[in-house]
Amino acid sequence: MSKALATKNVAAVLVASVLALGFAFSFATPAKADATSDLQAQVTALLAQITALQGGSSSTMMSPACHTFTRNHKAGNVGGEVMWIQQFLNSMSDTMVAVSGAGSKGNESSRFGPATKAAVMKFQMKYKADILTPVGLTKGTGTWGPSTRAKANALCAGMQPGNSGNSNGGGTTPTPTGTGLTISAGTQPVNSLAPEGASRVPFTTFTLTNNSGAAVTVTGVTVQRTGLANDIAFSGVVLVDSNGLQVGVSRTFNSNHQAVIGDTMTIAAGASMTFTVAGNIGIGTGSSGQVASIAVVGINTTATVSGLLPITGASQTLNNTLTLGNVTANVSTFDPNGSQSKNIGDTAVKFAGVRFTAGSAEDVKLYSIRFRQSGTVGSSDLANVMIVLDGTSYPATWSADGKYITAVFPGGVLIQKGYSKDVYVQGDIVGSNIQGRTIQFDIDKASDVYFVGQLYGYGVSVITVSAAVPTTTGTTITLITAQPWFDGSLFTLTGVQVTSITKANEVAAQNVSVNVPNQPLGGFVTDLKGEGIQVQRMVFTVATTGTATGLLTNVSIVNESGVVVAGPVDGVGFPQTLTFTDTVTFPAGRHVYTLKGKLPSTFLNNSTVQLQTVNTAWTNVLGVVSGNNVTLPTFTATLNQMTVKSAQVALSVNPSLPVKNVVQGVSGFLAGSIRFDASNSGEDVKFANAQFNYTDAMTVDPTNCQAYDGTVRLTTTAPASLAAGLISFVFDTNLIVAKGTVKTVDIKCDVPSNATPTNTFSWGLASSTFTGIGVNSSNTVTPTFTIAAGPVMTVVGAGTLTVSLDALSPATILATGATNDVVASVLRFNATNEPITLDRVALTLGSSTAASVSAVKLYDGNTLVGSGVFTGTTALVTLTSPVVIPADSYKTLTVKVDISAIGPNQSGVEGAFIRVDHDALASILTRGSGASSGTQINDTSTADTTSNGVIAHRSIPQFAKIALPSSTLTTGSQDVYRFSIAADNKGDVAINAVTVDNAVSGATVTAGSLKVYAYSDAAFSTIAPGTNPDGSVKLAGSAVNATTTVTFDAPLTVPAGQSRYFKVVEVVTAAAAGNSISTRVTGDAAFAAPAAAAGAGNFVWSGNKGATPSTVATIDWNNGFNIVGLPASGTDVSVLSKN
Amino acid sequence: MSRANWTITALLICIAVALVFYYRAPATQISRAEPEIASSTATSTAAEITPSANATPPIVTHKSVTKVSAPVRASVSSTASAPVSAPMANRPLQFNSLISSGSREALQQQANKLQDILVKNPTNYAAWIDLGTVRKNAGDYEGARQAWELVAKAMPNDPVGVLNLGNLYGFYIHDYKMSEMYLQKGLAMLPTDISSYHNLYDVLVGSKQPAKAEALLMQGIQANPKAIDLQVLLARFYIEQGRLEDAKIAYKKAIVNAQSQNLNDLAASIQTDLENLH
Repeated sequence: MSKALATKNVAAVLVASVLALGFAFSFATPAKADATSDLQAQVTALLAQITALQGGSSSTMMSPACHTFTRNHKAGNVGGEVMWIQQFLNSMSDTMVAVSGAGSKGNESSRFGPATKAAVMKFQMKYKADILTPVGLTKGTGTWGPSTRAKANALCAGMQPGNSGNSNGGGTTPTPTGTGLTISAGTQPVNSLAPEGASRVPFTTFTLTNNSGAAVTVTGVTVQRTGLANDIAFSGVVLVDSNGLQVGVSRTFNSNHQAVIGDTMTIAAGASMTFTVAGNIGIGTGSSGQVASIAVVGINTTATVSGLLPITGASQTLNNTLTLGNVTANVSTFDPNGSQSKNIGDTAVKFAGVRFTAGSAEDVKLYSIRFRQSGTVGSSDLANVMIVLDGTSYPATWSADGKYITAVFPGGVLIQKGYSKDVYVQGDIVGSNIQGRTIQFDIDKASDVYFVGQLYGYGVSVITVSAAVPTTTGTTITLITAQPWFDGSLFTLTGVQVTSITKANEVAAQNVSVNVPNQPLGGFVTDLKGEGIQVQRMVFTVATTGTATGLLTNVSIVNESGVVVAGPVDGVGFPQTLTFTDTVTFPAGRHVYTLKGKLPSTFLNNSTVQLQTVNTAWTNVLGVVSGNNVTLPTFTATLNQMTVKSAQVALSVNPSLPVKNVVQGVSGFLAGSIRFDASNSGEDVKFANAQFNYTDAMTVDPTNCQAYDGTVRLTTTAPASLAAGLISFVFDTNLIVAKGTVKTVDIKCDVPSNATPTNTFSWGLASSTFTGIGVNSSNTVTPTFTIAAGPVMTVVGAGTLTVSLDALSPATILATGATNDVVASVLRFNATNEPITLDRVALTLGSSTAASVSAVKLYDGNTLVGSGVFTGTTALVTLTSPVVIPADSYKTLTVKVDISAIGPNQSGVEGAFIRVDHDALASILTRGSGASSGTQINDTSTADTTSNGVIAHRSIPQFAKIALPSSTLTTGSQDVYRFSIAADNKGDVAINAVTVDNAVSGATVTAGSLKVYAYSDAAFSTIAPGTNPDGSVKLAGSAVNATTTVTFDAPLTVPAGQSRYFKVVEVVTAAAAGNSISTRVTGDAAFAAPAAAAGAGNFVWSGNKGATPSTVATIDWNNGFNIVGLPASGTDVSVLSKN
Repeated sequence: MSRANWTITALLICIAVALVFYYRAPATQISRAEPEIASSTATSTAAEITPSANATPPIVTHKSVTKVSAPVRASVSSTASAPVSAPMANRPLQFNSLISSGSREALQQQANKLQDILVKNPTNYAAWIDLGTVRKNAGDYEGARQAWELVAKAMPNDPVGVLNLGNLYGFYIHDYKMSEMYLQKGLAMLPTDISSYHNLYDVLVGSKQPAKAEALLMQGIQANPKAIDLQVLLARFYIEQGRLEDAKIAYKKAIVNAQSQNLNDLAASIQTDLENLH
C-alpha cells in the first residue's frame, strides 16, 4: 500500500470509528471505513473543524451564567445588569474579569470598573467578527453595547447551567431504591458529526427506573437544545428506545428550545427502560460548524422523579459537507391510491403502501417504519395487521393508544443504490357494528421511516419526489413539512352485502337414479360480502317433466366439504316443495351448496326434476357478525335440471384404433380397443369381467393378451389360448365406468416371432351375456353391444430400409481444397413396419477419385454419428452413435466431406467433381436392425442416389475493389474503377474475362474507349506479364456506358500467393458540373459447370487443372459464383463526378 | 571450477535431462526422426534443436537430430522464442483411441511431411491448413485448433481456415459460441456458401438457439434465392418448432423454386413431404 493510500485509509478509519462509537446503541450501524479520493480532504477539514469547535467551546464554557441582556453599560456604571455581565464574562476562562478577589468568579459586583471594561474588550475581540466588524470597528471598546449584548444573548441561548458534557455518562442503571422514578445518565454517544440530512443522530442516553411497587406511566420527556447551535439546525428530535424503535413522533423545538418527545409509556414496577434522545438534522439550515447538544430536562409523569437533571450527552458538530445517501418515496403500486369502500370481513386488504428508492450515494437499510391509523375504527376492529416489505410479512405492533403500528425489520432490509422496495400495510377487517367507520393508515413524518446509510452509518432521511407532491387526501405522498407526511387512502366500511344467490354450475345437469340415496338434485351459490348471514328458513320448489309422480325424500343441503348443513327433509304437496327450517349459516365469500336426496321409483326413465328457490323463500336473515336484519336482493335461482336414467352402459369398438401392421415378435402390441359408454347412465357401473370377440386368420395366434384401463392393467392372467369367438377377460380390479363418462379398454398382445406374415386378427364385439353392477343401487346392469369386428391387424415380417436423396441436399457447391466438413448431400433413410437402428451406411464416390476426399462423415444434426474414408470409389461408414429411423417414417443424415488439399505433392485434384452418394449396389449393403423383430435389415434401394456434388479448386481467386486516386471527373483518359485479384499460395489462377458495369451521366465519353489494364504492383507502375504491350488485357476498346464483358486477349495468370492490379479506363471528352461516371464489376449468381472460356460467365477464371495452364478451349473455366469480394449484383460502385 | 569443467558439467546435465524426457515421452509421441536415430552417431546439444516452425531457427535435418533430440525438441519448443501464438508444427500427433493403427500410420506420415515443409517454411499457410486437417482426423482437436487459428490470424480474408475452425468448434470441440463466430465470419466472406449455412444451422439448433437458426435461414435464402435446400431446411425447422402453417408455406416456396429450375422430381418429392403434413 502506498503511503498516501495508507494515510487516506487511516483517516477514513478514524472517522468511521468515531461515527461507529457515536452510534454505539443498537439501532445504529457502524460506519464503514470506505476511503474515497475526495473523502481525504473532507476528513482533514472536518477533523480540523471539530478540533477548532471543541477547543472553542468546551475549554471556555465552565459555568455559564446567562441572562437576557437588555441594557447598555459602560465603565463607571453601577447596578443594572452589571453583575450579570461580570458573571457572564467569568463563565469563560479567556474573558474573566478577575481570576481571584473582587470581580472573580463568585465575587462579582454591580460596579462596571476598568477590570470589567478590559474583560468586555476581551470578549469583543474574541467575537470580533460578530461584534466589531459589523459596526466598522477593529478593536474592542469595552462598552457593553447592542452588538455586544446581541452576541452574549446569542451565546446564552445555547448555554445552560449544569452542563457537564459527557461527564454524566455513567452507564450504570441505578438499583431501585425508594419510591417513584429514578433517572440516570446512560452510556453516552461519542461526540462526532451531525451531517445535514442525517436522521436519529444520537445525543443523550438516559435510564428510567421504576422503584415503586406499581407501574408508572410516563407521558413524555422534555428535552432542550443546548450548546452553540441554533434550533433550526434540527428538523426534529425523537426518543428512541433500547431496541432502536422510535417512541412517539418527531417534535421540533419551541421558543424555549424545548420539545416534549416520546409517548405514553408504562414502566412496570421494578423495571428500567433506557432511551436515547436523537436528532434529525435539517438540510440547508446554515448551521454547519455549530456544536449542539440535547439535554433531558424533565420527565412528564405523576410519579416522583429523583436524580439529577439536566442530563446532557454528546456534543455533535453540525456538518454540511458529507454527502449522505437519501431515499425517495413514492406511492407504491400496492397502495389503493384512492378512497375505497370495503366490507366487514374482507381479508388481506392492502391499506397503504409506499415505494422507497435508494439514492445514488450509498446503499441503505430500512430498520423500521411506523404508520398511524387515523380512521375511526379501533385497533381491535382489525386483525392480522402486517407490514409487508419486499414480499415478506412482518408483524405490526400496535401502540398503547391503538393508533400507531410499528414494524421492526431485524438487521435491516437492504436497498441497493438506485433500487426500490415496496412497503405496505395489510390486514383483515373483523370488527362488528362498524359500518360507516373508516380506516386510514398514514405516516406522520418522514422520520417515522428509519433508514441507515451503509457507507457512513448515519440515519438517512426520506425525501419525496417533487412530482409526487399531493394536493388531496388519499392520493400521493405529501410534502416533508406537512403532517401526515404520507396521507393514506380512506377506507369506508360497509356491512354485509349479498352479491348474489344463484344456480351453481358446479353441480351440473346430469343423470340420476331412482331409489338411490344422495342423488344430486341441484346446487346453488351464495356470494356474500362483508359478513356471513344466518337463514332460519328456506323453501325450494320441485318441477318435474315426464312421468315423475311421488315425493323426493331425505333431501339435504350439503356444503362444499360434504357436511350436511340443513335437512334431511321430505318433499311436500303439489307442486312439491322442500322446506328447510334448520338455521343455516352461510359464511362470507362464495360458497357452493348441493341438494341431495332420493328419487322415488315412480320417477320413470327420462323424466326430469328441477329445483328452484327465490329470495322471498329465505326468511329471518341476519348478519352473522352485526346481528342486523339483512334484506336479500331479489333472486330466482333455478337449479340445474336432473334427468332420471337407469344404470346403463353401451359397448362399441373404439373407432380411433386404426388398421395396422404388426411385426413378428412384437410384445405388448395394441391389438384392440373397446369403449364402455356410460354417458346415459344414471349411476356408475362396475364390471368384474368382460368378453371380447376374437376374429383371426392366424396360423400362430397372439399370446399374452391383457386388458388395460389406460395404463392400468385390469388382468393378470391372460386367456389361456385364443380361438375365434368370445374370449373372457377376468378383471382383477373392477372396471368402474362413472356415469356420464366413457372408458376405453385396450387389449394388448404379444405377436410371436413365428407368426406368419400376412396373417390377420382383430378384437371386436359380439353378442354376449356378461353384466355389470350399479355402484349405488347394486342392481345388475346389462350392457348393450354394437356388434362389430375390430380393426384388422396384419402380421408382417421385419421392417424394410431404403435410402433416397433428401430435398435438403444442396445444389452443386464450390469449395477450396483442404476445406473441411463441406456438405456433399443429405440422405433420407426410410423405415417401414418397425423402427430400425442404423448400423452402417455404404457410400459411393461418383465422378471423382478417392484422393479428392480425405474423409467422409455422417451427421445427425450437429452430432457426428460416423466417419470413414473412400477406398477406390466406395466407403462403408460404421455408425459410432445410434441412429434410429422411426417406423413408417424417415431420418435424414448429412454427408460431409473433407476436401483433399490440392497442389504440388498433394492428393487433391484441381476441378475435381466430388459426388458422394448412397451406394445401393455395394457389396456390403447399408444395414440396420429392427427394433421390434430384432433382425438385421439390409437396404433394399434399387439405385444410388444422385447428388449435385462439390467442385474442388486448389485456389479460388479473391476479388477486391480498390479506391480510385481521385473522384473528380475531368477530360482525358480516366481511371473509372480499380480492383485487384489475388491467388492464394496453393496455386495460380487464370482470369479470362471480367464484366464491367459502366454508367455515364451527362459526360461525353468516347465510344468504345473502355479498356482494362493489368499491373503487377499496387502502384500500377509495372505492367503485368501476359498483357498487351500497353498493359491492356484486351487491345480493342469495349463499349462505354454499358454492361460489358471484357474478354481478355489471352488468359492472364495470377501466380500463387500474388495479386494483380487492374484499372478500368475510358476517355472522357467533355464533362460539365454535375456530370458523373459510375462503374463496378459484377460476379455470377449461380454455379455453372466448368466450360470453355468463351461465354462462361461474367467473371471467367480457371484453376489450371492440368499440368499446363488451361487454354480457352479447355473445359476448365468457371464463372464468378462464390468469389470472395465479387457479389453477383456487383461490387460497390466507384464514382467520378464533376462539381 | 575451470571453464572446461563448466562445459563438461553443462553437457552432462543436458544429456541427463534429455534422457529423462526421452524415457518419459508418451507412446503416442511418435517421432518421425526415430527411424534415422540408429544411423546417427552425432551428438547434439539442446541449442541445436529446432524450436518452432514460426521461429527462424537453424534448419534441422533428420540427420542432425540425435537420439535424444526428438523428445527434447517437443519440450524445448514449448518455451522457444517463437511468436507467442504460434503452435508447434512438430507437436506430436495425439491420436483418438478409436483411430486404427493403420490410420495412425497414414496420418503420421502425412503429418511428418507437413512438418518438414513447415520447418523449412513456417509461413506456408497451406501446409498449416493441411496439418490442421491431419490433426483433426487423428482426433487431435487441440492441435487442429492451433494450426487453423494461426492461419485465420495470418490470412483473415481466406475463408478456408475460418470455416474449418467454425466446423471444428461446432462439431468436434462443441464450443458453439466460437463455432458460431467463425462460421458467421466465413459467411460474411462467402454469403453464397450453402454448405456453411447447413453447418451453422446445425450448430445453432444444437445449441438451442432457434431464433438465430431461423434468422440464418432467412438470411441464406435472401442471399441465395435459388437454394431450394435452404427453403426445405426452413420448412423442416418450422415442423420441429410446431409451426406447421409456416412449414407449409416454406415447402410451397421450395416447390415453386424447384419447378422454376425445372427440377420436377425434386419438386414432386417436396410435394410429398408437404402432403404428409396434412
